[in-house]
Parts: sequence; C-alpha cells; structure tokens
Amino acid sequence: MDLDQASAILNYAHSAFISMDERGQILYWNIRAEEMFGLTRAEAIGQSVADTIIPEHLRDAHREGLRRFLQSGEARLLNRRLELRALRADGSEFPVELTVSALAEDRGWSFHAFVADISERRAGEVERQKLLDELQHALHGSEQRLEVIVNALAEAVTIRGLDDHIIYANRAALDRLGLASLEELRESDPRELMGPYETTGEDGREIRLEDLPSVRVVRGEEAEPLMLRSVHRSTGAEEWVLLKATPVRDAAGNIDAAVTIIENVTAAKRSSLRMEFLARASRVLASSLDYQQTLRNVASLAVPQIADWCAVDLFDEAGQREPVAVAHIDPAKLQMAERLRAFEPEELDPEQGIGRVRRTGESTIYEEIPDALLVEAAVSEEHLSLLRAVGMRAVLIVPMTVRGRTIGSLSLVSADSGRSFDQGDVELAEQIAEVAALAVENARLYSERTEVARTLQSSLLPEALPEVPGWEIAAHYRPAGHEAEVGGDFYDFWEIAGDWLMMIGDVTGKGVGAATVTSLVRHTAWAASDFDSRPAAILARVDAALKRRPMLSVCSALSMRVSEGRGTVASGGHPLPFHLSDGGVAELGSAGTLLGAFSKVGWPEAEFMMRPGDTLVAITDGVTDTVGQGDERFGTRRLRRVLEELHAEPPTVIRERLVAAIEEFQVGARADDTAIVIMRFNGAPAAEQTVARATNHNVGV
Amino acid sequence: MQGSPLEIRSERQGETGRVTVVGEIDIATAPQVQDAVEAMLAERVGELLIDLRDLAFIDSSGLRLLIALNNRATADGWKLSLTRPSDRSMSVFQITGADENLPFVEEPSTQ
Repeated sequence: MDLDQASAILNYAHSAFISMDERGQILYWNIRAEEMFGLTRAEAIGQSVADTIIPEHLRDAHREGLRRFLQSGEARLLNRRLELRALRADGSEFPVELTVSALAEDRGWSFHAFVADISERRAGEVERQKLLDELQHALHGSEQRLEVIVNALAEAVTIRGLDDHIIYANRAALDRLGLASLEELRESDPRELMGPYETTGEDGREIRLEDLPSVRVVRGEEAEPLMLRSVHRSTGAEEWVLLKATPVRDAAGNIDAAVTIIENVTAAKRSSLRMEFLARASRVLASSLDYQQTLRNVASLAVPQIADWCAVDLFDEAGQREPVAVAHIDPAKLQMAERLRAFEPEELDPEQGIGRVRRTGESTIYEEIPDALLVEAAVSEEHLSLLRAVGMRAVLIVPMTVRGRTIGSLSLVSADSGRSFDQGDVELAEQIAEVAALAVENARLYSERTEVARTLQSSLLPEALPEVPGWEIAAHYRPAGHEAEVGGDFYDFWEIAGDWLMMIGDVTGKGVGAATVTSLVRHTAWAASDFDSRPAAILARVDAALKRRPMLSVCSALSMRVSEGRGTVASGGHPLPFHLSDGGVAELGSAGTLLGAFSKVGWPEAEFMMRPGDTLVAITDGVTDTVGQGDERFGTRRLRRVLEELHAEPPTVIRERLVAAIEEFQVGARADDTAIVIMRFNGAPAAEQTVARATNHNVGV
Repeated sequence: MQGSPLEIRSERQGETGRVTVVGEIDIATAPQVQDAVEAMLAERVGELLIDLRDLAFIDSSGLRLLIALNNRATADGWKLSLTRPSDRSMSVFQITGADENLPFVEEPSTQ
C-alpha cells in the first residue's frame, strides 16, 4: 500500500493526521486537521510545518530536531506521546497531544503525526488545580467547609493519614471503593482496599500500596502524579486514573496527611492509546502489499493493549471463513488457538458470533461469556474443556467492511487480563477493522491486476520457443516497470508450408489497450500467412487491419520468413535485424512504413543467406532506447559493438551477455519493454544459389 | 544534457501557434508535449507549428503523438507543420516512413 492509499484511509481518522517530508513541508492533511487548524488541505499542502502550525517560540527547536534526526538519526521525540502548543491559522494557540512516527521511503524520510486537541482536558486540569488549592486552604479552615466543598466534587478525593490508613473519602471516592460509609472505610485495611482491583502502571508493572503517591507523600517523599490502570477483578471494568497527592502540614510544618485527587482519565488515556495504535497500525499497513502478513502484523499490534487475543478471519464468496491471523502475547497460548480452530465448524452460524457479524455487517459484543454459552457452543467434551481453558471474559467481533461488503472480521477476546470491552473499544476496533479491510482490498486488487497482466502477457508470447530444424533460438522479454501492467512488445514463431515465420513487434502504449492491439496483430499475421506468407504481404495485411480500428492503433513489426540457409525480411517501421557472421555485424533489409499509421506505405523485402554459425538478432527499440548516465541512450552503435564481440557465441550466451550489458548501462527505472530474438543457423547451407543480399520486392497495399 | 531532458516553449504569432521542443520526447515526456499542444490548440490557432530543430531524441510514444496530431489536423481542418530535426533525430522518422507521411518543413513557414 502506498502513501496515497494510506491517506485515503487516514482521511477518515478521528484525529488530525499530518504528514511532512524531510524538508519540513506538509505532504498530507486530513479533514480533521482542516477543522483543527482552520486551514484547508489546498492551503496547507506544500507549506512549511514550522510556519503553519508551530508557534514562533518552538520553530527553532522543531527545525533543529529535524536537522539532527536527518543528520544523525537521533530521534528525541519520535514515537512518544507529546504535549505541545500549536498554532491555528487565526494566530491563536492551543494545547495538543501528538505522536510522531518516521517512515523511510525511496524519496527520503517522511514524518507522520496524529494530533489531538486537548484544550478541554487542559482546562479541566487547571480547574482541578484550583480545587486542590482551595482544598488545602479549607483543611486549615473549618471541617464543615471542607465537607461541603469536597463532597460536591465529582472527582474522588481521599485523605491518607500517617499510618497509611485512609481517614477521609468523599462521596465519589466511597463509591469508587464500593463502600457505604466513612466508618466502613476507617475500619478497612488499606491493602484490602486495593484488593478487588488488578492495578498496573502505564508500563504494565504491578502497582503496590507503597507506590501510591499519597503513601509516598506521607513518608516525606516527593511524588509525581501516577497514571494507573485498574481492572476490577470481578466486573472486568477497566479504568485509567491519574493520582495526584499533596501533603497536608500541621502548624509546625510537619506532614500529617496527604490529600489525593483521583481523576478518571480513562477516556483520554484510551484515546491516546488509540492514537498510538493507529499511528503504528497505519505504518504497518503501509509497509507491505502482502495482506496476509499485514493482517498478522495488525493482530499482533492489538495485543496486549487492546485485548488478550486478536484474530482476523476473511470470508470467501461461499461464506466460508479463512483464518488469517491470530495473536496472543504468549506463544504457548497460540497453540491453544490452533487446537480450537480444529473444532470449529466449516459453516458459519448466521445467528452466532462471526457468522452473525458476516450476515449483519454489524459489530457484536459479548460482555460476558457464561459457562452455559460455552456448553452450547462446544461440539465435544474436549472442545468444551479447551474453551473453558481459554478463560474468555468478553468477546468483541467487528466486521471488516469495504464499500458495503463484509469481507472479514476482527475478533478481540479478553481473557487473562480480565478486562471488559466498552463503546470506546468497539469504536477503536471498528476503525482498525476498516483500515485493515481497505488494506486487504487494495492488496487483492493489486494481485488481481498482476495476475490479469501476467495471464494476458503470457497469452501474447509463444508458450515455448519452437524447435525449428537447423536453427537454434533464444528469446528474451521484459516488460517495463510495474508487473501489474501489460507491455506492448511481442514476438512469435509459426510454421507455414515447411518454412518458419518469425515476427517481433512493438505496439505503442501499455496495458489492456495495447494487449488488444497485440492480439489483433498476431491473429491477423497468422491468418494472412495462410494466403500469402511473404513477409511484406503479412505486414500489408496487419497495416490494413490496424487502420480499420476506430482508435489510432500503431505497431512496428519485423516480419521474417526463414528456411534452411536463407530468409526474407521486411520491416514495418521496426528496427532492422542484425546478421552476425565471421565477417562482422550487418543490418539486414531496409526501412518500411510503420503499421496502422500512414497512408503512403511500402514494405521492401530483402532476402538474405545464412551460413552455418551465422546468427540473426532482432530487437525492439526498448533495447536501444534504454537510458544510461547523463540521459545517454544505449543506441545502435553500442548494440553493434556488443554483438560484434559475441557474434560466435550460441544464442543463449548472446542473450545473457546482451541483457547484462543493457542492465549495466541502465540508470533508473526501465521506461519501455524490451524484447530480443536470437536465431543461429546450424544446419546445412542452402543449395548453390547465390542470392544478392538485398533484392527488394516492394509490396504495397 | 542535465536536468530535465525536455524543454518546451510555446508562443503565438497571429494565427500560428508555435511549440518549440528542445530535448527528448519519450514515454516519460510525451505527456508534457501533449499538454503544451493542447493548450495551444485551445486558443484556436489556424496553424500549429512544432519546431523540432532541437529535438535530441524521439521514441515510439513521441512518434505516436505526432501521428495522432496529424490525423486530427486532417479531420478538423487546421494545418500542422513540423520543422525538420537534425539528421540524427530524423532517423526514427525515416525508419518508420514518417518522413514521407508527416508534414515536415525545412524552416518555420512563418516568422
């Protein structure tokens, strides 16, 4: 998938998405970015990022960072969540959160960032700081005032005493802890209060009581705000909270308690995790055209952040599922998934699970997986015990949809972590599935096109080179550029009344249009040779057939008839063939009119003799037009020199060395197809006749 | 030749539009020539002169473009003239019979 395809996908992203080249100019700007910065795509693209969205005081740092990265590869800010200030088109500044990733491409580095406007979140933080100040003030005032203020807070607030016990909690905090009253709280062991939750930090490390900011503060330590993820052990509910603790001092200045404000940042944290995930997923998706590999990469990205298991299935036309990827952080568990697959019925149940998602095109969420459901789903005792062993807690299946067609599903399973899925997870999973579906579709279209091109191309060349008595033949064909395109060069051999006809040609243009013309040329030539197998007569027929087409269809072709020791050749605007012998390299025949192009036409025929060991070489202009250093072309002179050196070699050696010489000369991508046909005469020479080398028979229309 | 292998200059003198091509017309640059020609034809000139005196190279894509243009001129009733290139670049036209079929002129017919 290239950047254009990725950009089509990213246009739908919920966050602003901006790409920049290594000169710092904006390459891509999605719809959300237009809204956020007040600048349309047309206005933004090509502008410098520094002058457009970076406030003046940060511009030098930005340029310096970019310069440093390009010079030394040192990346201080890549792939990290950053909080910075950004500039709108109207000159106002606002706080943003962003993650920047870099991608190495042929043209150099490009940088990609998801940007979220966090003005609201920031405003909330300022608000809370004010409350915290008031609270401190209140603590030194009357108890009553404290009660009133604190209980009105939506945020959970606790006060921890010196013995680690929580001595106060407001209403919101009591609700969080699942306690009815302050008395109940005061009696509880502080460790037990953490008991119902599995608590981990941002890095996945377990958080103990000693790590909590309030506990550290009452011990006189400095404590940074702590972000932690808590999963309720029985309900599976996941929460991200930010704990900020402030010491409370007595009149003498000694710490006697710590106030903690517990801010629920689940939504913000998930959105930032999603941004990171999407940034990584978009890189993964842009990295390969092999969609199976791409889907495996996406699945492994999803674990363990989003779910414990992630599986991707694709549906074929018959509605059968093709498991493409399954990921779990623990490889041992993957074997379990494989064993489970063996039990799954071929036919999808349209009322259940993946089958249902396929039928409805809508996401399905199983918030709980009761044992009864497993019993119902199991086909055998062994299957049931395997299902139970997975320990599924919740399952989320979302469709992979492209243009209204459900082509597959993405399944997320929560097990070991015990978390449940919420609406945010559904939205994230749907976004990933949409991006993955597009990746699959693009890859499929590409491989279909490649397959069509390959089939078409092979139908335009002889299946195998024929065995021509007395002759040794080698041929080479290489289409230009992309394998998904059909080239316009062709060659062909066929037998007629004991003689052999050879045609090599070049249809101007590429793709299916050129392939159609090539096909017409070949069929016309075959049919024409039944009536009149003289090379010039064949060209005349082809010329007439091309002129009957409604669109300009132009082809150059060399038509040659050979028998033992002799031959006849005519050119329809095609480079003349070379005759290689001990005497050197000579061009055979003379110029004739390009086919399908002109009203004044003429195809002079030339006869030639072949001695044993003599070789004929015919090419298309892709050989001589090959571009080298300084825009120089390979040219006829260089070709002749190579052929002079190789004149005594067998055809396969000439082919190999000539192709190597062209490739060595070539600079950059090949612009045109190349075809080469090499024929050496090994048999007995023709009888005594001596035929002048260029006896011309003009054949007109 | 350094940089872009093709340079195109377009100018109009009365009823004649002149497109001067300096460099190479091949599969990569033919679209640029096509664009320049279309822009000139959009101005409804009575004669289109393509100056090929400084043509360094032309491949089959470029040749096809000239053939198509010649067919259009005949069908739509305007005049096409091609200023003959140097001998080296003329060889493609000779090999294909284009020298006898396309409207080559020795010098620009109007100044």
